[in-house]
Amino acid sequence: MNPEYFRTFAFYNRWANTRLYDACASLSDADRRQDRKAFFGSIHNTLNHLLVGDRIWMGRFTGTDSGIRKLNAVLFDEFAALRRAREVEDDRIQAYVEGCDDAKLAATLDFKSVDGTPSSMPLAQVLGHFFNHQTHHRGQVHAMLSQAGAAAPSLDLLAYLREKR
Amino acid sequence: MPTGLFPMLARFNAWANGRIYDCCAELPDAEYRLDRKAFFGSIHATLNHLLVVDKVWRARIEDGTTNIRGLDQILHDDLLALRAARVTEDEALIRTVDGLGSTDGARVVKYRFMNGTPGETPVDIVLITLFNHQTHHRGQVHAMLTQAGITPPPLDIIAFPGAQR
Repeated sequence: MNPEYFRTFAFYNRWANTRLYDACASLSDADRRQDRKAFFGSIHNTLNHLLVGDRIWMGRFTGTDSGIRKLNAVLFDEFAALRRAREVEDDRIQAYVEGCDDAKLAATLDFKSVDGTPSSMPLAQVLGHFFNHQTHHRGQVHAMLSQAGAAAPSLDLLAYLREKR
Repeated sequence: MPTGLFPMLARFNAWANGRIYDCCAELPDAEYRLDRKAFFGSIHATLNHLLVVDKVWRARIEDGTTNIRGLDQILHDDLLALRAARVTEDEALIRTVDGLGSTDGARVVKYRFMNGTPGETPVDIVLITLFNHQTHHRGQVHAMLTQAGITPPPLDIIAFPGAQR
């Protein structure tokens, strides 16, 4: 397992979030909060859920309790504050992944799910889940952006890599 | 770049697609085809787009050809036929990934984009892009399914039995 794989994803995650939040910023607050019947309802709640998921996992990775007990928690009711917290979290994710070498990625992570069920998986699998989870919910937000009439940006990983070069 | 996660991701992809298609099978055909204003409009068109792109990338990796002319091409107008093609493609993708040796990931694939622009991308990057792209559009389909009144089961990698190995 090559750590470069996850470094690519950590950079891509930040790039994709920036593009997604830029597009969300073009919407009215009411449009962001409108219940569009995605799994977490609105764009606002889905973005909050992504931050919730990332903070819970980062807490498990670093051995610090995130304090979050609900997957639908709304951590920030205001978009600008949510965006600032997102940027801080993306920096934290990047710094964490920078420190992951082959041995660390192969080691087993023991954790408890939100309902208390204990689980064990190699860190590499969990990180694979972590970045896949972000893409899944960004996809939901992307659909809602198009439905709200906003210009939904390309979040293609290859487009990111070509832009970066 | 690893080949470590790719065998798991190829199987996760087949599993997640199975869950999504199971939900689609419950929908009335009109709901399945309804233009819900996602990037490719309907659930039907989005699922066709995913098959289009997977076929294009796999052909590029394997130096093969496809009959595909556009990213919004409808390959199969019928859900049953589309699903059968999806299953075949997912099995082929698993074989492709399983057939990669430890040095194949670095091999540079030369191809042309749909608009004719030449591209060069290592196999590992193609696979990262491909699996991320699937999750992105499955996220869109997931949002459209909940909007149509059907909540799919989780599509998390940690919920995928094959990730527990």
